[in-house]
Amino acid sequence: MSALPTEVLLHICTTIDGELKGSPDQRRDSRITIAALARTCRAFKEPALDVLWKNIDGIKPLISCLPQGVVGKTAEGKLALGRPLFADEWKLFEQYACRVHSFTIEGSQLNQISDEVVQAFVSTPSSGLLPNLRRLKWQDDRDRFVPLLRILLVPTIRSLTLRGYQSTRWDPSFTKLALLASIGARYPSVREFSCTFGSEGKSDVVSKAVCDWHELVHLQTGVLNTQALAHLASLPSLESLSFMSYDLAADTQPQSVPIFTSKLDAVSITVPSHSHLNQCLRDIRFRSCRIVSFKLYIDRGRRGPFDPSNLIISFSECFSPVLEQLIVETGDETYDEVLDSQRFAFSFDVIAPLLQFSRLTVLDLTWFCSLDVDDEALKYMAQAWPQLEELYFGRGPCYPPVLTSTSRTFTALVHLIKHCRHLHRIQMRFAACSIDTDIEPFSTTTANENLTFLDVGISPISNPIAVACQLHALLPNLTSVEYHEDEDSEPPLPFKEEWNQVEFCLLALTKSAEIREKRQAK
Amino acid sequence: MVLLVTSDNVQFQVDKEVVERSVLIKNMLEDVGESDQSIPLANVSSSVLKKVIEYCEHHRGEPLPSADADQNQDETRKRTTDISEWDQKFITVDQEMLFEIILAANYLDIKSLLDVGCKTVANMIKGKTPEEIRRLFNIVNDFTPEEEAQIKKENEWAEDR
Repeated sequence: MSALPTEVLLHICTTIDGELKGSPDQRRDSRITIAALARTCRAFKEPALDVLWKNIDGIKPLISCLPQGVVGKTAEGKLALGRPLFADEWKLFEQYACRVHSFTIEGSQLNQISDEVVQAFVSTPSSGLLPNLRRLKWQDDRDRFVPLLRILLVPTIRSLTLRGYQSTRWDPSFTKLALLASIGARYPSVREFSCTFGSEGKSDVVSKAVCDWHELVHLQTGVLNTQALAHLASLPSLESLSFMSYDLAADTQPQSVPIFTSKLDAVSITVPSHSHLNQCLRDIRFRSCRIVSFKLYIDRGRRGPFDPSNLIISFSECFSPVLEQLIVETGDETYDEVLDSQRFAFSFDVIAPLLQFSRLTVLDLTWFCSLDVDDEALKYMAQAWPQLEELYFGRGPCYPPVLTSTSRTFTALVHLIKHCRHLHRIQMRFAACSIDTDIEPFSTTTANENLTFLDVGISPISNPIAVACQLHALLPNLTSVEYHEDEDSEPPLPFKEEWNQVEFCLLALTKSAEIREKRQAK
Repeated sequence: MVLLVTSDNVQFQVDKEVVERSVLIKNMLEDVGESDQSIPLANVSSSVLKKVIEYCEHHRGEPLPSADADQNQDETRKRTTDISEWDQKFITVDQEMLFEIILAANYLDIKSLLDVGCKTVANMIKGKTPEEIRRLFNIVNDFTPEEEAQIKKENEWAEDR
């Protein structure tokens, strides 16, 4: 076996390394086997060590290849060095360091090393600590470790993630900004960059770095200025983009509207106010996007006036008919209740501009009030979106849980089941009552066996047993119904008991159908 | 049909569609164009080629890993030790034949067969100590005790949870 060529031995080691997404125990078992393989014979040593050291998590492996007498511990139990490293000791370190392609380090791991270790590492005689590093995930936001981060950045870097230890954000201090200011020019081959931050005043530094990258494929960041967006729009390589939109109006010229027409497939935009959202939709065009997600993290003081009609029209202008997923989320429960009130209720006229997106598979307007969209309107929507798989359409306010009347009935649900044959998740409020099964649309609707999730929010209901039987006829694999949960609600939420009855009946009907099928099979 | 000649001078007539699962042969055929010329396979014996053809026949028509598949896709393909039932049965051979098949798959550039061979070896190795691996494959330990101890020390972190 040791006569096999190196590339085959490497292939075997990579296979043993197992799936990277395996459990921690599986990954440890794989590492132990590869380390054993490295000690089997000389032929196996190099390929096994190449695989073992390819993806490193934490600083301990790097310390372990330092000479035994040099490494010690401080009184606080931190790893420390008795003296700086000599040239031949660096050579030993480099034998391992050059094998590392991916390195992840987080705050708790950095807490285990003393300042001397940091100082020793930043004094490496090489130009970088890990000279062949391709992917770096840095999860710490303390300035005192930034020199270590700096020495980890090398020209081979393709993927760079910068985030805090406790938070996903990496809010820049002056030290971090100084690093970011040169990052684009020094490491021009970055293809994936993830660094989100909240302060809009610092956006120019990251925007400048972004403008220096010409091979970006994935970008997740904070605020970008129009120049950076225009640059990104010109990149043929860009596939996904996530950013925050603040004040585009300040630097947008009418002729400089960024239009994304290339590969860009998925975009996620976080906005702090309605006016910023409207402005962002007005000032950028995403012609190639299939997946769009908006996050409305709206500050109380910046909410401003909200016009759902304008918002939907802007969606229809900003995106093209290739759109498959439109998701609008809010990060603020008190704001949800503002949006989902009768004051901002959608009518069909409001929603109509979205009908052009005939390829929609996911529409998530959970936090908007859709109570004015009636059965007939739902029918048009269902006909316009035949590929729909998931529909989240006005869940209802979380707090206080108020029952609001709706003009939609069970018939609206039947229209969806009839025209959207791929639907498997629905979240929608409607007035549930038994309907005439001998007439349209019920009489011509075929059962949907894929739909297993139905969230009715706080829907009113009458005759729950009849509703359950009709639901079972149309959705034979539906065994539960999500109802607005609020354990603390006193008195209990209206219709909760009735929906519990529906759920009980659905379970019984499904079990009964299973038994019948088994008997028929015999 | 394509005529293949093995290292022990045995000739095999094989369907073009079957033989083109080998990237090496596919490229050779593309370079040469339509021709009756035989293709000599100096590194593959007849007993091994017979097994390779059996594999290619069984997987005829299945999609090949694309030539421009990026490194990540390539790694993902390798990073699973699952082997289908037929492949498992096919590769249940003695060790000598197993390594001959791996060498042939590597030489002929048949990625899926190389994967099956390497996964089989990987499954044999999993969980074993250096001594057990040496015994299993009759490998001579060419390290000094000091060298082996040093490698062990420098990679002890691999056992951390």
